[in-house]
Parts: sequence; structure tokens; C-alpha cells
Amino acid sequence: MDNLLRLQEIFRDILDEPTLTISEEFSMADHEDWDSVATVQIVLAAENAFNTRLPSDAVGSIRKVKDILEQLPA
Amino acid sequence: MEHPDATMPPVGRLHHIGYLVADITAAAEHWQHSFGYQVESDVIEDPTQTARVQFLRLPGESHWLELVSPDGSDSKLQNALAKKIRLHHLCYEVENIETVLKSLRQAGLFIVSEPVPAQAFPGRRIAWVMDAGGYLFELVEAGQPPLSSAHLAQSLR
Repeated sequence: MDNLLRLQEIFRDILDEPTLTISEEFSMADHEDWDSVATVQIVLAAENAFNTRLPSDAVGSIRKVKDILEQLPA
Repeated sequence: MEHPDATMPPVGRLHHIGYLVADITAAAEHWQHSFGYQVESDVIEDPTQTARVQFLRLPGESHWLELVSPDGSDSKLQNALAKKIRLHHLCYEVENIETVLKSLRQAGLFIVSEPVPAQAFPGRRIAWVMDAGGYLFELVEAGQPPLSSAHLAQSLR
């Protein structure tokens, strides 16, 4: 499973929408429940799933799925 | 009971519970008259946190209730208030804020805000962390007095 699909599972869980489909361009503006708290929840879940730690300053600039993917190991 | 991980620094004691309100004056009256809390500080303006806060406490209790309200329409607290989040955060007093932050990060929490000077606690710094459930925690450096004497309520001066 590629990183986008793994991230999609996380988004579905955090945003509580089991059929949600995301793309790299999917942004906070595209989902009313994706706020700053959800961003932290998504980041923490991604850190756990990908066994990594994202730098705090990078998390603050997350607006799109692509911004998260760029921080994850390939 | 010993801490499950002896290498983990303790977070210290519970300092206050942050309760989010739209109107601090009305909320303070409610907590005084309904539950018997006493007002222990003036309303403190904290532009860094885009908030106004006021501390209340039950007689004989060791920790405070912090009433928190946005300081304007651009406050970063407006989103939580709009979502009707009322129990906003727990605040722990810690001896070494950097050590505890590092420990909590390793434990899987996220550092929302690095230590900055606190308006409510002059000479001390606060930091914010969030867990995977989206729950917010504040850390405040240990020190005396427990609240700034400059902010003590008129009735206590």
C-alpha cells in the first residue's frame, strides 16, 4: 500500500468518514472537520503508522495532504 | 505506587483545569454561586495566547479552575468555542519544562507550542502539548507564588 492510501486510512479514521477519498491536493478547505486539532491527530497517527517523527515547524504549515506526504519516509 | 517508567520525569502536580467560556464575568458568577468557588485573580489579558483568563478555586483545594475566553474575534480559541468545547485543557506544574516536553514527545504527544513567558505567571514559562485524542495539556514551570501577586483579586490583596 502506498503512502497516500495509508494516509487515507488515517484521514478516514480521524475525520470519521469511512468512505473518504483523498488526493495530494486534498486540503483543509475541502473538509469542515479538518481543523488544527485534526491536523495534530492526523500527524500523530501518521507518526505512529510510519514510525517517524515530523518536525513541529513543518506541521504548522500543513494545509494539504501533499504537505504531510512530503514529510513521510518514501 | 511507582511510576511505570522510572526514566520518565513526573509532570508534577495538577495546577489548574482550563474551562473555556464566552463571558468570563458571567462564568465566574456562575461558578461562585452554583459551586462555591472563590475568585482568586483579576481577569488577566494574555495577548500571546489571544486569551483572557481568571483563576477560581474551591476553599481548601490545591488546584485552580482557570476560566478562559477569547480576547477577540481573531483569537485562536474561537474555533474551540464555536465547537462548544468547554473542558479545554489540564495544566501540570513541572520542574524542568524542556525535559518533560522531550519526554512527552517521545511518548507520542505533539508539542503544539514551545515554552514562552506566561502573563499569568511572571518569570515562568508555559508550553502546550496535545495527545492523539486531540486533548490539550499545558505545562507551567514550577515556582512561587503559585499565581502572580500582581494578579491577585482585589479581595485577597
